[in-house]
Amino acid sequence: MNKQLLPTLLLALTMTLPGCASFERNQGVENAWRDPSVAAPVIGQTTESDIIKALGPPSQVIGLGDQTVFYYLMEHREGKAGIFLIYNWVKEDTIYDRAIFFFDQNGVLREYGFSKEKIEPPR
Amino acid sequence: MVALLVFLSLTSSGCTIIGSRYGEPIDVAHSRLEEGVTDVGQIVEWFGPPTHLSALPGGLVMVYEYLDITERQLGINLNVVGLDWFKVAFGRGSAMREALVLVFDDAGSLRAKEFRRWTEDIGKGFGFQLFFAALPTVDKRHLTGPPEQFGWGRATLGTLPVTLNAGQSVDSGSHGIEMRGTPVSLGQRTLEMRTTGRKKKGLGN
Repeated sequence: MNKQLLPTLLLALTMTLPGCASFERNQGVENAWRDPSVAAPVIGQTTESDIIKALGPPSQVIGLGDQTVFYYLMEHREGKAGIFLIYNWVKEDTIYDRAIFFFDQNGVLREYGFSKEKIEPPR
Repeated sequence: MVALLVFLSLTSSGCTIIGSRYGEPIDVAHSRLEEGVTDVGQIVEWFGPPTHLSALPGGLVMVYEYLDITERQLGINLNVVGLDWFKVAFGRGSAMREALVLVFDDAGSLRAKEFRRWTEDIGKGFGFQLFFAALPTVDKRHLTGPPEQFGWGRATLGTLPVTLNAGQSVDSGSHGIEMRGTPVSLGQRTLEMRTTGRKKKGLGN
């Protein structure tokens, strides 16, 4: 009898008490462009080779006529949920940390930029 | 008695709000977008990398997107019919969207621009759920797919029609772009013979 009581009680508590949850997930390349120890790119000087060595393979390489684009993307998804039976809510935010580099025909940096939204790099 | 039953049924039911946000709102107020004056470098400095980017004949196109989806559900507990552990949930979804489209010429100078903010109805749904569950009832997958940058390396691993058309795909960054939520039965996508059916799942669908 006692063996059944505890699981029943636990199940009853689980079902009737309010609950909350939180989750998060990262996807994509590591956002090394946020790392202060990585040298800042210099327009007209930094090359494709420098960027690949510093940041690794890009998420996407795009050919734009006489230009090449390296596109880096890291996605961070986090969510929270509250289950109160009468009122429930689930909120999920997806943040995109992006970096883009435009190179000329010689592989020299022409333009670059980072997204305003950013994800703290792993320590 | 009926009124009492209705009252009890409604008061013991659950309302649910499910929200999903993708990216940050586009801050156009603090930028000066002038056709023939603004260039790619300034755009990337002000807004960062775009959500979508592609080469065009004689230039390139960039699109920035922001998406905030909300699904509101009304749940009605079924204890009045003896199903104490279950509820029916009626959901309705809407999406607040922002998009900034920028077209540049070969020299990187802004050729065309447009910013829009709008709210769209994305549908309704109905579900039979456990009463303590908070599950979506509205199908939002057409808006919430992963960025094309994550699928780039898989372009040749899809179904045969998808693979054969990978060279012209709007996901490649070389043949135009499309907004989130664009139906797959449109333009170049029709060649990929994709399906929106729930049963057919695979790399190409």
